[in-house]
Order: sequence, then C-alpha cells, then structure tokens
Amino acid sequence: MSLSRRHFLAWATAFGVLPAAGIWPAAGVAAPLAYDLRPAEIAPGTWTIFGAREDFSRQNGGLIVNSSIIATLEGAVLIDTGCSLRHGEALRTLAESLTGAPVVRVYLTHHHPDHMLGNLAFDPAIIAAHPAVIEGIRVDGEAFAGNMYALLGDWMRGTSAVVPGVALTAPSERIGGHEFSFIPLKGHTACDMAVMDQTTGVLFAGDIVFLDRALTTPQANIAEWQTSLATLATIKPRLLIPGHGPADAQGRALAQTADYLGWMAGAMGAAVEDGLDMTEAMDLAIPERFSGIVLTRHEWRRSVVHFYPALEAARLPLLGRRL
Amino acid sequence: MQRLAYFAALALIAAPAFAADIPDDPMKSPLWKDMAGRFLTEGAHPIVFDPAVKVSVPPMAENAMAFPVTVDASALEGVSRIFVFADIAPIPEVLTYEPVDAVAYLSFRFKVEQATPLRAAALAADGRWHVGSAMVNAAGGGCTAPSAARADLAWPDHLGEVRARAYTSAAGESRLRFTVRHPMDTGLGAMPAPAFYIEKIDITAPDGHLVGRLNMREPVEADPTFTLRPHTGAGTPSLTIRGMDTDGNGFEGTVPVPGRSSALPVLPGAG
Repeated sequence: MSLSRRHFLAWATAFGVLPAAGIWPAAGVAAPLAYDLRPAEIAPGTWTIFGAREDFSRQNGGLIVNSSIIATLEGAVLIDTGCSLRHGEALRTLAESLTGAPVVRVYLTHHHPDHMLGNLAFDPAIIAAHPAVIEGIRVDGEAFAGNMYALLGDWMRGTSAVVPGVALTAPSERIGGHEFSFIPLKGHTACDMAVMDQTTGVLFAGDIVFLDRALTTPQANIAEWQTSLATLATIKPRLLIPGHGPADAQGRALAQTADYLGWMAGAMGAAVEDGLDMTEAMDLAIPERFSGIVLTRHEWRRSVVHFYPALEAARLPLLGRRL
Repeated sequence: MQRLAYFAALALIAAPAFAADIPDDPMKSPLWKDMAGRFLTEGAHPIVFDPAVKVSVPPMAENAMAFPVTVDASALEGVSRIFVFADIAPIPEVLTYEPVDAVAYLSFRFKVEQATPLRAAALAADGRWHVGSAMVNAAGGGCTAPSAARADLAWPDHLGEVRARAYTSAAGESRLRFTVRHPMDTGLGAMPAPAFYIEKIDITAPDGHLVGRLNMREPVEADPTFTLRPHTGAGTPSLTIRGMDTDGNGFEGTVPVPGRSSALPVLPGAG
C-alpha cells in the first residue's frame, strides 16, 4: 500500500466517510430504554407522576401506575417505586431534583409488581410497608418479576424483588413536618394500604381506587374491596390520588370504583347462574355508563378467569362422587 | 438424467404419505401438516378448513393452567366427533367429543404451554374433517400471582366429586355444565408426579342411551369444567355423568334436567 493510499484511508475512517459509504458497517447503538417521568404538582410540595392509562407494553415500559413524591423538611418521601429497577432509579433521581434532597422514606401501598419492583433503587432500610405487604413481596415477588420480564423485556434489566426493611405497625409516622397516617385495607389484594398526608390533605389510595381505568382483580375479593371503599369515603381528603387514573377532588373516584365493582359482582354471578361458560361471559355487554373507563373489555375478560371457578364451585350443586 | 431421477425419488420418499391431501393452513403454522398427518389421515377422510366450525377463545391467556375454549360446529350436519388439538404443545391432543345425542358444541379449559394454533376438527356426515382454528396467545398475565402447586393437600378427599347443573331454555334447549374434581397431572415438568388424569366421561339418559362421550388427555385443566348441549325432551328428566381416570378410579353423578322454563335466557345458537 502506497503512503498516500494509507493516509487517505486513515482520513476517511476518521471522518466516517467509508462507514457512511457503507464500505464498513457503522457502529449502531439502539436507543437506551428510559422512562419519561412528568411530575404534576398536585399540592404544595407534592408531585404525582401519573402513569399511562394503558396495559403493560414494550412502548410504555410498564409506566402505567401512579407514584408520588412529597418534599419534607427531612427529605423526600416516595409512594410506590414503579415496575422496574430503571423506573425506581428514575423516580429517585426525579425526587432528588424536585425536592433538592435525598429520598428518606418509601411507602408501598401493596405488593403488586407495578408498585414495588423499583425497590432495588433504594436502601431497604428506608422502604416501609404493612407486614402483610412485606409478606406478599416475600412470597410472590420473584414470580411477579418473572412475569414482568416476559411482558417488558429489557425494561426490566437488573430488576429483582426487594423486601422492605421497615414493617409499619404504628398508625402514623411524622417526617419533616408531615404527618402520614396509614389506613390498612383489603380487597384489591389481601393487604392494601392507603397513605394520608394529614398535613396537605392528600390521600394516596393505592389500588383500592381506580379512576377512568378498568380495575384489576387477580387477587381481589369484591366484598372486602367494597368495605374498604366505604372506609375511605369517611376520610374526605382535599384530594385523592388513585393507584391508576387522574387526581380527584370531588369523590368521583370512590363512587366510580364502587359502582363498577357492584356491577361486576352482579354480572359475574348472573352469568354463572344463567349457565354461561367463560367465553360467553367474556362477551357480555358492559354498561354504557362505564364507557369513559379505558380497558374495560380487557380487564373484564381477565376478571372472568379470576372469579368464575369459585362461583361455579358455589353454584353447581355437588351431585356425584368417586365410586 | 440420472441425477434428476435420484432427486425425484428422494422427494417422493421424503414427502409425508398424505401431504397432497392436507390443505394449506391459513394460519401458516409450521406444524400443521405434521399434526394433521398424525391425527386426521386415518380413514382417508378429506380435510377442509371450514369457518362453520367456530373456535372461540379470549385474545390472551390470563391463566395458562386454564385457558377457556368454546367449539361450535352446530352448523354442520351429522357431526360424529370433534377432535381438539394444539399444533405446538408437548402433548398436542386435548380431547375428543362425540355428540351422540347432543348439539356439536362444547366448552372446556386446557393448559397452555406456549402460544399455538388450536384446532377443532369435526367429522361430519359428508365424511370430511371440517377444521376450525384459533390462535392461543400465552403472553402472561402481568399482575397474576404464581400458580400454587396443588396447595390443597386434601385433594384425595375430593377426587371424583361431580358438581353439575342442567338448564333448559324457553325454547326447550338444554345445557349441561359440570366440574369433576381431579388433579389432571400431566407427568411433565418439575413435579415428579406421573401422568394421572380423567380419560373418559360418558353422559347418558335414564334409558341408558349415550348422549355424549368425552375422551381426554393430560392438557385438560385440573378440576375440569365442561359445558355441553344435550338433546333432551320429556323423556330425559335427568342425565348421568360417569367417568374413569387412568388409575381406574370411577365417578358418577346424576343431574336433574329442569322442564321448560321461561325464566332462563335463550341459549347461544338456539332459536
């Protein structure tokens, strides 16, 4: 190779002419997966990142749940850590930049994966939850993570379930001038905890309340859930933040969740009583008054699978035995 | 010329025996021809894909251990049996239903190992297999808790229990729904329990004549639940469900059939 040709090639490589000409393949870098968190200040020093009113997808990375950040004199408080390590890290970074302080306390509303799989981004010693929520994470956490990996792929990289270090047994906790009280409930799961910031009047209801997004029932008990809604109805907060859906100052969220659950329980029982099989029940009409709620058909089909077997066991009489 | 003859011979030997008789799959499943060749070629019945055989499934599997399916071949004349199988499965055969004195209609649930086409082949009076298909998407349920591994240790006490109910519409059409308690172990996977499942269930009328017969394999769900549509009239005040599993355990239950009731809704496909 002559000197001038070697110089030409070195120049061409340095300026990317040859790769651009396709002679050598250009190094390609896939866009890294990143959560675009958009906080809304819903009360003084309080922000909610409202999740997309969608199902889990590779597009949204599982950002379908609400998380909230409260600035206190001792540091930031975070409610629910999201569905992946990356999500938790993004929430932590956001909390630090919004409040100018590190996160000093994390509260978890319940043990479902979209609310707690960001735990790994935090020191377990600051993550607090009801003992039954902690037990739920211990029992179901890794299997939930597995499901999420299947749904979300590389969004979940590095994620594993982390058990909270603080079991909440007292009714409230004071942090940096904010009085947080804890309302242990059940119905969406065996243990759902709502958090009330007495200082701002904001009630973080967790998945006991869904607004304009169909509620989910994989571990639900409708009767217990209705009781929990009645309990929350006595609180009369300034603002209610549901687990999924927009903020609500008028009590619409509680009313909608209760109305929807009431319809679901009745329609499901009637379907079994009428002798419908699961596929027929899945196609039943959903009342027009719920047309403002997204994903109703999808979640209704899931709920049929969740509730049908127990209803059939209750309503098909025991008529035969082993010989 | 010799090379041409060699390749022609090779092609003949390599081709499956009845490949020319198996229609191309509209779902373009790579295993369709293998499976059809394995299950549908005995007796040399012609095979046709037919939208008259409706296979209804939900868009995704919320619970991979119990995926609901309804097969409705009632538009066809004289269906003698319906064979259900999955193209891509460790055990592709699911069940065979003979609607002897019943509508060619069945609802059931089965265990899905991975996404697969599901086929219902109905052998009709014209001597042809009419095949309906549906795609089973097993994508996982997200918030679903892990399935408990037979956590109910008291299951032997309930083995063979039959829960059942019959319904009669105003038009006089009957429907039978029943569940049989049984672990339906596949013999596969991490669990070392060998295959143990209900093999056969017969539905008979009081005079002893066969109304319907189910032969099933491991993929049917644990504690299987079925919906059938028996032909009933004044002569069928009850139906008897009788079956046996692979260990020879038998079970039996008798269900009263209500008279015509205007309180019950018109059943799908009726009137």
